[in-house]
Amino acid sequence: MGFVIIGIMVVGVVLIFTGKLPTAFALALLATAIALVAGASLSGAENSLLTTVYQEGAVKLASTMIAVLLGSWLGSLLRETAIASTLVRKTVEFAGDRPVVVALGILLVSALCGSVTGSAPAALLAGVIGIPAMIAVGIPKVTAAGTILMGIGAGVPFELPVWQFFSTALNIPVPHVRSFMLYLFPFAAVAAIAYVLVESRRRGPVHEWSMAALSTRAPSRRRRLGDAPWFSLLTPLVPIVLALVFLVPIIPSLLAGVVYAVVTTTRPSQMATRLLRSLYDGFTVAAPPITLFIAIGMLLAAVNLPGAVGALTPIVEGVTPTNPVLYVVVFSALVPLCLYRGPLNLFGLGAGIAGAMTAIGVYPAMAVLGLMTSYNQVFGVSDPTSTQTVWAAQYSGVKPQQVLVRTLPYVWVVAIGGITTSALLYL
Amino acid sequence: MTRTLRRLSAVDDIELGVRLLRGTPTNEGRDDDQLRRISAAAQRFGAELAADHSDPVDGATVVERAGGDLSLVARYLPRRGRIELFSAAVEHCETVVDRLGWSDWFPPGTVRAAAVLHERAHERITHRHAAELRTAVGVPALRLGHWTRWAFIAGADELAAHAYAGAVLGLPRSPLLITAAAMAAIEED
Repeated sequence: MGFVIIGIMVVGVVLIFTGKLPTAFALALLATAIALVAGASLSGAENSLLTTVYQEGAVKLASTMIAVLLGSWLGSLLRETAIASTLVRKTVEFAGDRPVVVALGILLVSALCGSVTGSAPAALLAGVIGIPAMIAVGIPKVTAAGTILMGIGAGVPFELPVWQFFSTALNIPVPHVRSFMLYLFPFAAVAAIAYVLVESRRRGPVHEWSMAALSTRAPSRRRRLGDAPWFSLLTPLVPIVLALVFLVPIIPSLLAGVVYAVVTTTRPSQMATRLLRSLYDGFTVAAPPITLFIAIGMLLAAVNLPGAVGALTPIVEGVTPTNPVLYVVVFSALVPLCLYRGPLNLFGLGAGIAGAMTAIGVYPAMAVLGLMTSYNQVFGVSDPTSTQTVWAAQYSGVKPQQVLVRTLPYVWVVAIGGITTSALLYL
Repeated sequence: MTRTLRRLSAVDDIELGVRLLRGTPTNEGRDDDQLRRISAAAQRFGAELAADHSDPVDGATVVERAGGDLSLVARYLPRRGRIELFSAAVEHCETVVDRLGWSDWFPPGTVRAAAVLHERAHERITHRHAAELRTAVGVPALRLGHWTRWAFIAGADELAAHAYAGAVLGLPRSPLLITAAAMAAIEED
């Protein structure tokens, strides 16, 4: 039975990998198939397809979905109030003579955006102005795209919706998730800074006589927003400081960020309109990840069914390394499997595998957290099929695969650092 | 060539500079008056730099590259000490100049020479005159009492480089005009 479930997972990976089905639909189908094979009844209060997998699974990650929505709302406000663009413009104004310093500044802006909203919205926030600004001061195109992505990667350990996701998916209290993220952050930050310094110097700046700036087909001039006030530029730090230092729960921390952004940038008479407009915009931005989280919740519910746990336990126990050194070596070598929507992609089948590992108890939940957060660092930066990587590469005028080649060595080291830390702490 | 291209000759170099700045990121929030001041100051700086012969002789080698994107005329790679000229784009610019009847302003061979000088100007500005350009452009990034940190304005170095090339070659119009016309011709096709 266990091998049948693994076979179903392989089919799911193929469907996702080949793009035959959108990931969310493939995961929902996987959840259905696994539940049926695991002997779940069609209906009933416990261990049934309709109630356990569809009804309870769909809302299993509800708190994550709300956190994602609030993060997207805050991201929309950062754009609409010109906070993000002011951060980029000020970076260029202060350091434009030194392209490497500009790139480091935009790396920091990306990290702040990544900590607020993560993935594609963060890439858009920091990259829409940040990428052409870096190219304008002479940063090579691939390095510019990678800087945005590495910056987001450095901010992800402080992305509150991600804390919520791991907490719910792996059944770990948020403070425990937060404590591991604090270990992971230095690896991500050092790798991101190293990327900018090494790649900028290795390739050197580029100055071009290009005609593009005089194109009449250039997008119409963006709406003039002016500079946001300096104190509003602290907005991305508000949720992080509240959650990290004052231990405020995630949703109120994000709400405080929303309130701070609007209070510091908007006249009282316009606050309600701006809040509502940016909230609706946030819904649009949050729709894809929320769809995914509904399907992941169903998959987690399916792999946690007693039938599935019972069937998978002997196989998983037989193949997973229990020795800490082997744990580090094997799972570090498997890092590429989280790319190209592979089986260790956390926002795909990887969530199911993590859920199964936790349910079976082959590792402590914190060791699974260490593993998956480490993979998330690689997926979030280098995966040429992830939205933020595709967008950043194409917006810079390069191929996503070029970004993969340049960033993978750095994020692989981050993953090895995270996996090793996890082994030292939890095995 | 359409009337639109021919009309470009009636647009002065300062306005062409404004258009370039407008198309350069981080300038979205600046109004037209400020862009005009930046354009004028940056081009004046480039022309004055051309008259300053105190800098040591520049060392970058010039390499011709076949093919490439038609909109990319040349690029300077300081790390490799190399200026690359893209022959397809250079020829395209020369053709546009010829067809618009601007050869009096830009005699044959001007584009190639201007491209090399443009990149040499970047070399001089990047290595030795970046702070002077910021001061000349005169947009404050931060004021603390009497102390002012002058802002780097994206695109200003490009305008200065065009003005430098035009001044060294003694051209009556900035090579910006060629850039605008060549890009418009690409877009028309």
